[in-house]
Amino acid sequence: MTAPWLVSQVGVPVPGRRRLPRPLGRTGGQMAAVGLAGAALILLIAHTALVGLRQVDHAYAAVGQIATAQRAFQHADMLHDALRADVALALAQMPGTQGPDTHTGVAIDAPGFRADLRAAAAVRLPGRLSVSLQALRPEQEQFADDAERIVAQAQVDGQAEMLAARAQWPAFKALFNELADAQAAVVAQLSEQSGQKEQLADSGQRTARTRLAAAAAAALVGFLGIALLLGRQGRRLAELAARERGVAETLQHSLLPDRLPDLPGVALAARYVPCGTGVEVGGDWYDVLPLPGGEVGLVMGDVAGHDLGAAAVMGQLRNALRAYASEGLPPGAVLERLNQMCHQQRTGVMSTCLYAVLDPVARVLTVANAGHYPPLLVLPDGGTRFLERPGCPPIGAVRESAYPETTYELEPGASVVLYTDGLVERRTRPVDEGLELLAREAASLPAGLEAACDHLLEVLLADGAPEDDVALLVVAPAMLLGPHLDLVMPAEPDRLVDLRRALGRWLDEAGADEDERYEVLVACSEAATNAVEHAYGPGAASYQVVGDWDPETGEISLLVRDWGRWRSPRGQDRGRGLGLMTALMDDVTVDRGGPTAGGTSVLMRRRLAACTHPAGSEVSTGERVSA
Amino acid sequence: MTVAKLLVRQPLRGTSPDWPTVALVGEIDLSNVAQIEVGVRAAVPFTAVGLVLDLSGVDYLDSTGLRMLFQLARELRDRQQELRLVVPATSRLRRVLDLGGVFGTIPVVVPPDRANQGAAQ
Repeated sequence: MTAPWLVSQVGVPVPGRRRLPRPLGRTGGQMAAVGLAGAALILLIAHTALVGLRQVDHAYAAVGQIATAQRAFQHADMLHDALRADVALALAQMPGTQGPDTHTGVAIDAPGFRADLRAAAAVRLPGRLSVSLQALRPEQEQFADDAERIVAQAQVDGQAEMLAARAQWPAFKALFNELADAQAAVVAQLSEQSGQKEQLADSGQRTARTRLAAAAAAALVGFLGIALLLGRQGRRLAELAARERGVAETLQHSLLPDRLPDLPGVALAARYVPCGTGVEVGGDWYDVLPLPGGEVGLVMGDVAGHDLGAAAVMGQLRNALRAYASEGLPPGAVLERLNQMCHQQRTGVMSTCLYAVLDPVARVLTVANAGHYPPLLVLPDGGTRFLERPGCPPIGAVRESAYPETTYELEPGASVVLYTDGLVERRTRPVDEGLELLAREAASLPAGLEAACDHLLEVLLADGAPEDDVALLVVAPAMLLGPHLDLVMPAEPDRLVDLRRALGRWLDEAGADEDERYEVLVACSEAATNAVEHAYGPGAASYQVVGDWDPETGEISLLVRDWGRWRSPRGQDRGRGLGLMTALMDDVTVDRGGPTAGGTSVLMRRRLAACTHPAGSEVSTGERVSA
Repeated sequence: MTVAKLLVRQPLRGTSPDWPTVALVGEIDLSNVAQIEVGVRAAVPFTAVGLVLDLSGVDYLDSTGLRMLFQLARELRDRQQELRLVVPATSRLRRVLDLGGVFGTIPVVVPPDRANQGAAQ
């Protein structure tokens, strides 16, 4: 089965091989690369930001140290002034008149001065500052010592000591001035350093902040990239899944009947509802097969699984079943062979399947069931009954399984409902309730099988789209064909038997006796055979048979009409048909159509021997499913 | 291929090898006439004097079937063999065979009584 065939069948475009999306490998690699690059970038930026922050931390610590040193040094500078004042005061006093104040002043200021110097020296400072401080320290110590010594001398009670002390003043003052300049320079250096460090810390902080922001932005971009890729990937996956579903659906639809066969005397209606959620497609199928003896084969099956494979297996089973059924095998034998075929071909897939043969004239239904839900019989009085039998295993489950048949006689007006599990199984409702609901609703169906199908779907799928596919088939043998018959038959030799079945039933209703029945059948078949054989070339279309009988006069008329061009009889032994028709019927008119207008019509009339019939008063065209 | 419940029975037991008998059961129409013709033809050995074709079990036959009968009769005649038909007196086919001109052309054997239809001759 090739894609172009599918396209022409259902009109759903099936993508060519080349246009199928690439496998996921490449995009997976892209995503990993983007993710790794993003992570590496984030790590790098975060690291530099951390390093920057540590530098800022150090800078601020240095600023603090410098501030401590600054404070100590400034205090020392202050005490330096105080010591000068102490000395000046001590020297300005008259000998022997010194009070305790001067002595006390120096005694407090000198140790304080030294303590400040120690404190300043204890602070770890940048090299240049440390050197400056160290260089100043001996002279400063000297200054403190000098101050103490001069004050002590000045306190000694004696003129000579005072004079000696005063003689030291110029030198002391010179030292003081020298120190004052040097200390001022150091203070300036300290404050300059402090400012620099502060600036450094500030700029470091700014840099770190910028880098953190950059890292965050990079992370954002990375995540956006991944999100974009994920989005694209998701879309691609969804596309892939949708395509697979599309192919499976196309396959499935091509395997379901696009329209049910027009079978005289059998009313049929079917529905197929694909499941509403997800990307799955079911393996449900149904089929209606006109059989050689004028019977009708009814198929309802469900292949396990919800993918392309299930749809393909469904196609195999459907075709195999059609082949076995067309041989005229009874239902049990058909399912048995289907099961054997499954095991021989090792499909490995199980499928429930119900196959029933309906004889529409005798209204007899013969059922064989391979693990499928039982059909529901609906009686004209509204009674319902599931046609249940001890279960048989599904097709493909057990090798050499037997599928016993059960035969049911359908009373006039009865109908049969076939369905798949999707109709009765809901997640929110036990199966028993689903079956009960089906039986209850089937008891009061609207007239007409189409309306009946719609009603059943509406009620049983009331809580939204089905979770599984749903197939539904309702069949009702017509009670009576009625005096007016209108059949459109495919122009195929194999279907001539269907025409004879329907016509025979119609003639029985009209009260024809055995000979009349046979003779009218032959006459009509001659016209039909002509339509099949003469009016068309190979690849036949269809022809129409319109019948009418008058219950009053007992006259029947039959019109057989095709849409092809009349071909004169050719070859040996041909051309007997028209003779038979004229001999068997009272009146035959053949309209061969004009030279341009296509179509041949044969109109035949015959009066039946028996002319009144009770059946004429209660005529129905069937299609009734409930009383 | 629709075979309308039709069986081609090989020469019946108890019949003479000079006159093999083939019985047809079911309906003969356009869908299966060619297959039946082939089957019947294959049942006539070259050495046989003729063929007995038993139509007792045939429920339906129209001009397509008539055509086959005449074709078979002509073929056998060309081989200096003879076709004989078995048609019960009560057969529904009689009218069509009559109208088709079979009775004047092909020898028809009427079995002595209905209960013994299947074993003509």
